[in-house]
Amino acid sequence: MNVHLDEDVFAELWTNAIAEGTTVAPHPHLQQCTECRLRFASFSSWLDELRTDAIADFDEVVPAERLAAQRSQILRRLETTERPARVIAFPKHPVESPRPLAVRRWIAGAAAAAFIVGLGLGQLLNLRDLSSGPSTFPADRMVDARGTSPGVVPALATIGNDEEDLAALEAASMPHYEALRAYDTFTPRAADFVTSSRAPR
Amino acid sequence: MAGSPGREADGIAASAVKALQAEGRLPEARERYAELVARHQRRATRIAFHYVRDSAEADEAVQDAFVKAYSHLSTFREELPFEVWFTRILINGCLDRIKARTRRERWMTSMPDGPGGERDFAERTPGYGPSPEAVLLSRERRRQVAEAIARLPDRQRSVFMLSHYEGCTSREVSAMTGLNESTVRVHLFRAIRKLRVLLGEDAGRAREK
Repeated sequence: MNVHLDEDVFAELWTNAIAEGTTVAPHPHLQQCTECRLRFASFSSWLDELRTDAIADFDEVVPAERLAAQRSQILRRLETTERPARVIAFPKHPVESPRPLAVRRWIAGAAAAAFIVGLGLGQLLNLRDLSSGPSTFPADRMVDARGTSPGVVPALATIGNDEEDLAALEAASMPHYEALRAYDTFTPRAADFVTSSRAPR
Repeated sequence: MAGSPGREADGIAASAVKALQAEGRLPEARERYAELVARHQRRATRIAFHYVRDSAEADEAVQDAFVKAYSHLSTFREELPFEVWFTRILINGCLDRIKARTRRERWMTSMPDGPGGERDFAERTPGYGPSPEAVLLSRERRRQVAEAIARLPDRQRSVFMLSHYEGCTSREVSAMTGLNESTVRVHLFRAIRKLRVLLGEDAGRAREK
């Protein structure tokens, strides 16, 4: 009985041929059986078509011009990789190069000395001002011992005692709106506390 | 690819570039390397395209691989063919890109094919010679083939592509992919068988229509 070769055998023959990079080894059955030989030829042409189609598909998507552009891009990139990395100046405008360490030390020392001399001179001049003659400071800008300036708050300066002060402050803080007056009456006043603390128990 | 006449020339060019780099004669090294680029660029782009299935990304992957190979040429050993060494760099780059894309796609919704897409470009390309019907049929067949290949498991697809499309031997594919040589053969056999089934199904469906 003549058993025909199945496609697995064809695939195996092709696998071996492709894997070895050679032509398909002749199979004894193929030399005898015309039907199998035809089927194998059809199988082989199918495999060849696959390759042709794949390459045609590629050629359609990646034409020669695109490959040329790719090649020039590769060469440009190679050139760039060999160039030393570009250093971007930051800040953009060049900064003066720092002075040598000795100069910087001298500058720091001179600044410190000038500061100390300035302080000393300031103290000396101030003492001299205090010791010499009457003050030239204008009288209306002077503040009395209670911390009030007669020119600024004359009304408060004339108040004689604390209770009067408190009363004056409360009067000043009275709400100007009629609607808030009612709330204000509920609020205890400082003067009330002072009075209640002084009242005999 | 096995025993190709360019292989020896590749080895000589790669060694020359390496020597020029070592001597600091960089413009000459670049000029010599351009020969290698010209010789392998097409094949490299085809491999990258079959991996990433996007021409722009394939373009970037190829550029990166050539630049990387140039800067690491000192690690290239002459006993291995340049194209095998380079293809390994390229494949690793493509796999990294696929991984990155998968991660990206997890967070992004896909856009429908718009103007400027791969298919649109192919459709805009004018045909020469064959009739519109033949072009249409051929395109349809190619689409089916591309779909069938895309349905193959990753390793089978890589092995099939490198072996059948690029003509690499199982030993070379093994060096490029890091797979065992016998595993390469098994993947190749399975890929052929599966493609036969997938394309047979497609052909059957087309006939039914």
